[in-house]
Amino acid sequence: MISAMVLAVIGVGLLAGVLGAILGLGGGVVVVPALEFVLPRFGQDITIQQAVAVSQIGVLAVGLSGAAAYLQQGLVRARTGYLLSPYTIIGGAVGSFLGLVLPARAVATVFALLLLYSAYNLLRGLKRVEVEREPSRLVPPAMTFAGVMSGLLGIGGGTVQVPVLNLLQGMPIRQAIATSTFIMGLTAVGNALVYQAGGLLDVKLAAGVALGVLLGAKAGASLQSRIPAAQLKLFFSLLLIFTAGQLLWKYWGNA
Amino acid sequence: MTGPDRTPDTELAGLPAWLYPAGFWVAVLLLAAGVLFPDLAVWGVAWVGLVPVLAALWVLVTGWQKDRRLGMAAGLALLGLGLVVVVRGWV
Repeated sequence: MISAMVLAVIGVGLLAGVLGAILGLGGGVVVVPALEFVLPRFGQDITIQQAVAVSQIGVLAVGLSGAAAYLQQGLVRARTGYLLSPYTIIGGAVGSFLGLVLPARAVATVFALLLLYSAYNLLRGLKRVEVEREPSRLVPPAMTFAGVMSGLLGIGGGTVQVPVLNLLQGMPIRQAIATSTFIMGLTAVGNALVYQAGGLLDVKLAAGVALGVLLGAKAGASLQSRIPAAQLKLFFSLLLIFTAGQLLWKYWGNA
Repeated sequence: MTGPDRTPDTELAGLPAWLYPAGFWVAVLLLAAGVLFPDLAVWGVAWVGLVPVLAALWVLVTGWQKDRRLGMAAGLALLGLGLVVVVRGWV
């Protein structure tokens, strides 16, 4: 018999998968705050680092479903992805170690800033270039930074990686999104290994979230054309701002 | 290959078309089993992580002769993960 809590966790994954497919912003940005909101309602407290650990498996699921779809569409630059993935893996491992040792308040603060930045990007629209050009020398350090952020915050890295691949690597935006999704799979494997070794990964929660993400991503791909993205963007941006405020209040409110 | 958005064949790194879709459906089955029987959850989670590793391994093995730099990159990615496995023992 599946408990109500497990159903709620699958629901968190579904939401992340659907939003990821429609807005390109799923993964940790949804999973981490949603788990922090949902689980205490079932009498199970969760720290932000534990939520980040579970989110790493959600990111793996996003990477798996995204790569399957994007490879079929011929949008993934797998070669470039493999050439850049060592940087994100190293960055991811460093970020994950930081996630294990930094106080929860510090992680929550960085996460809240990320949510505000994501909301800003959703409202304003990402700066993008469509003309292919020579890669910048800043790509390796920027991809390493993207890895650190994904390890520390449990995000897919798309928030950082897509602009890096598009603006610095000179990759057209659709290929940048697809390649970022492809790279995030390998990065999240390393991140998940570190969190698992740190004793923070609850595999039962992670299985529920990952199942939800896989099903949500499939559903989201077919819903994409039927949902008005502009209104959803506005609603989700406001939700991100509210969530950032709530997160800051939770970790700084009693200071 | 058609359309301006599609990547050139050399960029596909020799990845077989069936690997990720097959990995996706096996993951759905294993994770569903893990949700129904929590003791099995670890297998679904492990599989989700194993798919990109298998893909990199495939590229390393099949691409080594054709594109040494790509094979090295896939190997480096796997080496990085191997390093994480070693270092995580110190956590």
